[in-house]
Amino acid sequence: MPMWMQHSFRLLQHELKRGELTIIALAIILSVSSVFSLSGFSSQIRESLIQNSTKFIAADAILKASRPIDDAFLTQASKQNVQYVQQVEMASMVFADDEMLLIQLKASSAGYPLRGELLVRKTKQGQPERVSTPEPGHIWLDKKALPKLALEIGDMVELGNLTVTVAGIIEQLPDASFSVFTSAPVVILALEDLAATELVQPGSRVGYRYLFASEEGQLKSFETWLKPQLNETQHWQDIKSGNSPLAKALNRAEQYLSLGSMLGIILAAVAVAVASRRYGQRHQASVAIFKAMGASKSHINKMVCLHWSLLCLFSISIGLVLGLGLLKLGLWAITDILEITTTDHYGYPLLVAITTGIICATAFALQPLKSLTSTSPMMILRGSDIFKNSSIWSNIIAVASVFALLTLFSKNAMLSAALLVGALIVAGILLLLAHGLMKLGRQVGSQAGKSWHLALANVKRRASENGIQLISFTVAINLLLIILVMKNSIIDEWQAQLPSDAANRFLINVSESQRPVIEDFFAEHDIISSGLFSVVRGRLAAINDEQVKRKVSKEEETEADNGRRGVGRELNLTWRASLPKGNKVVAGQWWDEAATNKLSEQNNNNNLVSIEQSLAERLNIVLGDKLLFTLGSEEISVTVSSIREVNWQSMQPNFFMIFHPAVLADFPATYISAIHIKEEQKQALQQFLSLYPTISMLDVEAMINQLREVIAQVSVAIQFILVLVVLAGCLVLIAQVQASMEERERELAILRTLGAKGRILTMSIFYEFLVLGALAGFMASLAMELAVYLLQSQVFNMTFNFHFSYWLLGISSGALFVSTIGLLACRRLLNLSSVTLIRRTM
Amino acid sequence: MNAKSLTILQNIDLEVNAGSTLAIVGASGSGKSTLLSLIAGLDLPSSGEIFLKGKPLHQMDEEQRSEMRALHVGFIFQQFLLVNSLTALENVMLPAELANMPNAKAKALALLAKVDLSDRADHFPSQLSGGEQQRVAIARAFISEPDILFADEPTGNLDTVTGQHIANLLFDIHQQQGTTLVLVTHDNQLAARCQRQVKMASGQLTEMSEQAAHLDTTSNIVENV
Repeated sequence: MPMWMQHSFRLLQHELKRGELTIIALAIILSVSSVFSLSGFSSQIRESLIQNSTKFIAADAILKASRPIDDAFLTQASKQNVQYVQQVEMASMVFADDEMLLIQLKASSAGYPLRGELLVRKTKQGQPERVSTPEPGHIWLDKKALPKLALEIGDMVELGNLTVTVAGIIEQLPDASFSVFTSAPVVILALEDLAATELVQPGSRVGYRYLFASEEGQLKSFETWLKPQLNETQHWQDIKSGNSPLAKALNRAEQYLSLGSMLGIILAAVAVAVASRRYGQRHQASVAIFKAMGASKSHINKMVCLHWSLLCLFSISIGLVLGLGLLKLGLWAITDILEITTTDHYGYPLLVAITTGIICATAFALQPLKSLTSTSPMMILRGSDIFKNSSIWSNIIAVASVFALLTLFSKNAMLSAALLVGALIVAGILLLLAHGLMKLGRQVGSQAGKSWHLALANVKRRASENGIQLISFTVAINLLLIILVMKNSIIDEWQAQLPSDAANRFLINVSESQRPVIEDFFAEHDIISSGLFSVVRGRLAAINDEQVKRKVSKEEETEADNGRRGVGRELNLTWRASLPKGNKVVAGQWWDEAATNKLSEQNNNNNLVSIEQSLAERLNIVLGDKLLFTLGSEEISVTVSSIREVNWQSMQPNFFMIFHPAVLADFPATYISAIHIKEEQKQALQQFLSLYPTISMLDVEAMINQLREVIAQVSVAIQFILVLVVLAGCLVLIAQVQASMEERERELAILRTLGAKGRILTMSIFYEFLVLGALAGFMASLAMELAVYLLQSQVFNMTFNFHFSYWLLGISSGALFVSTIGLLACRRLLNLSSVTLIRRTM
Repeated sequence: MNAKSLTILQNIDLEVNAGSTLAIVGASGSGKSTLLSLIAGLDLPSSGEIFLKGKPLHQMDEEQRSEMRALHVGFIFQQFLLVNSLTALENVMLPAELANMPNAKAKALALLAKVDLSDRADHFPSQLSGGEQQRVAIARAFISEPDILFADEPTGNLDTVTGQHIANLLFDIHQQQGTTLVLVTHDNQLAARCQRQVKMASGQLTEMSEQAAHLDTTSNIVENV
């Protein structure tokens, strides 16, 4: 074995045994284990959440098409072990004796649903049972249809040319629509029967749905095979696509989970950066002696690199084992709350953790190692050598590698950039600020007590070391604040979206004459309602005299998903005097009297409309634009007087266009209302509605409960991630305080020998760390605000607000935590005898 | 050089003969250690020439000087400067290993026995007393059988008795191995044991006495540093 290798092994062996590398190894172990457990935990939770949620679309993924798809697609699915169910959907009529009803027909091949439960009651008093597609000649009928068709189970109904038996009443549909306006009851029919109904004729509006499900991985490869072959009338959807509240909740949770893992990576990077610098400083004396004894540069380079690599390898391995333990513990702890469906798949977190460990250990160690190997042998005579601070290039390399790591694993450049830019800008400003503050502290300190004086003198004297330490404290506290603020705002938003009195029924098709009765009914039974919204159907015909048709259809081609809602079809228009709840005017003004008068002077009428923000952006509509609507045979022209932000997730009727009352009040309208019905009010509502059979009721309670269930699981998951990140952050902080205590050992030894009282030393350390912790907390809060702004506005699409209460938390917890750890570490040192202390530092 | 630069050593012309002993004495800050760092090849002069074993140190790069040190130079320092994470034995072996000498371990053990530290071979520096550490440093300095040994205040950190013991060891081994010995010290007694003493004051060197005969084999010349 070459001599450099022998020296490397020898040094490592002794240093590990003597605990000299403990702090450095601990930093790497911590980073690797936290990255491993965090990414493992979030990927397992992500998988499980998606698995648990696929029941809401009755499949893992759906292919929607306006024409039947190529048989080759389905053959391929079978070949790849992907299960599928074919469905044909259309609006149709069902006839029972003299009654008829508009229904949503789902003709389905055997096996529906692939995920989730279809619950059907097969006898009048029986319990709902789990079923699949009905036998040929039978149908499952939505319970919503019962009040309108006087039917019993076993009765015959007509569907087109086919007579079928109502074999059961659907109590729960796994893939019930989240849309308020598609309220027709569902009828499920065996696909074999569809031809006999003769309902599908050339020109019929028919939708084809293909439900797919498989073991993990197989569907993914089928999707990869299939997607390039799809045309623009065929759309692939899974639980996370689309605009449903569920998809949003899942996507947001997923973003939070990856945010959690990314923060873990940054924490790891900070820990390794500090550790590698410390490593460099610590080995300077040895390298200088080696050099003085005649060790060649290449001997030193190879020896140091091997030593560092071995140390990293050792620490990464322990980190992985520890991380696996943490991950198992975490998963075990949440099994009661969230069904973990995936098996032990540790490949991905393993990859993340190892790559993070290696990249951090390389990128951040580059400069310290370079500095170390170029230590002048003169250091042995001078007693100390200046440890070169990082050059701009090495900083750029380090930052670039962290960015690459973040982007690689989050696949979200924006999220990575938000975190990094936040951290970088702040680090720059903060370094300056920190110097200023420490200088100021010194001036204040010279008038303060003995311990404070010593503490502030230390803060100042160690400005450069403290600067680096301060940044690492700041980053750790900052990340903890970010993850906490984001967790709270996400959960708050979910709770706001689904308060306990969220609407669970929609009443649709209320006529003008029924308005007073309904309002009385609400008042009498104390029913919480959104109020009645008028609905007038109309089509947007022109914007500023420009025909809208072409503009919109072009949009639809390019933005298949975004472009469809609300245009190209009839819109539900409403008029309203007051701004509805969950709406916020972002431009222009809502029509209060003053504004109405002012505008009416200009326009000479009250022909005003308020438009939803995203639609306005999509159609390039600005304040003051003139919109032409056709309502039946009439045309009305209105001016855009405000643009609204609408919370589409809120359980209430939401509209793209809200008109001034003067415009639409005279048009014939129906009314819609969202209400919250308590258990004890159900009976009364049922009775009330039986008096007014024309009013349709949409029951979204089951859907809301499902959503609540998902959100509860997701909330638990993100709280757990929070705990893990906080734990990792605290450990990193502890490791850093320990590291800096080691640096203070020598000084402590001297002061102790000179007879400084333990109390003064302890208090001076305590105050020093108190100042550092508070400074770090303050700067972390500043950085958090910036990062959270970027995250909320750019990544999570949430409204940004300030978080001053968290500033207080950041500063106080930073100061307390850091100083307490400092105090404990200092106590431990002071408990050693002066001789031991002096020996240790030699 | 800019206006702030300092001239530490000037007009120095020093020749040291192989196998001789030389003491450089002087007050703190007079430039003794700087001179030592130059003639030992640890640093380079801004001007002037230094020859070690007839080879021009001032023309060598760091790498070549390292090799020179490994092959020809030994060091003893006031602060002992042992590698903390190596045992006494490993510290002693280090220069021999760096110079690729065979039987480093056996030699190191022999030297440790010579400095009376056989039973401390597996101890780490922090487990040794100051005197013991310096004895390890002496053993280390002689293991590669250097042509020249530089000792920077070798007894400076030790009490009188221990210092005496260390000095005896130093001179004993010097005699046994015929090593050239260059001592930097402000201990006049120690300096007096050398054949020749020079005094550093304000960066300049003055001869104090000349006891030894000229042996004309190797020379170190430092001038106009």
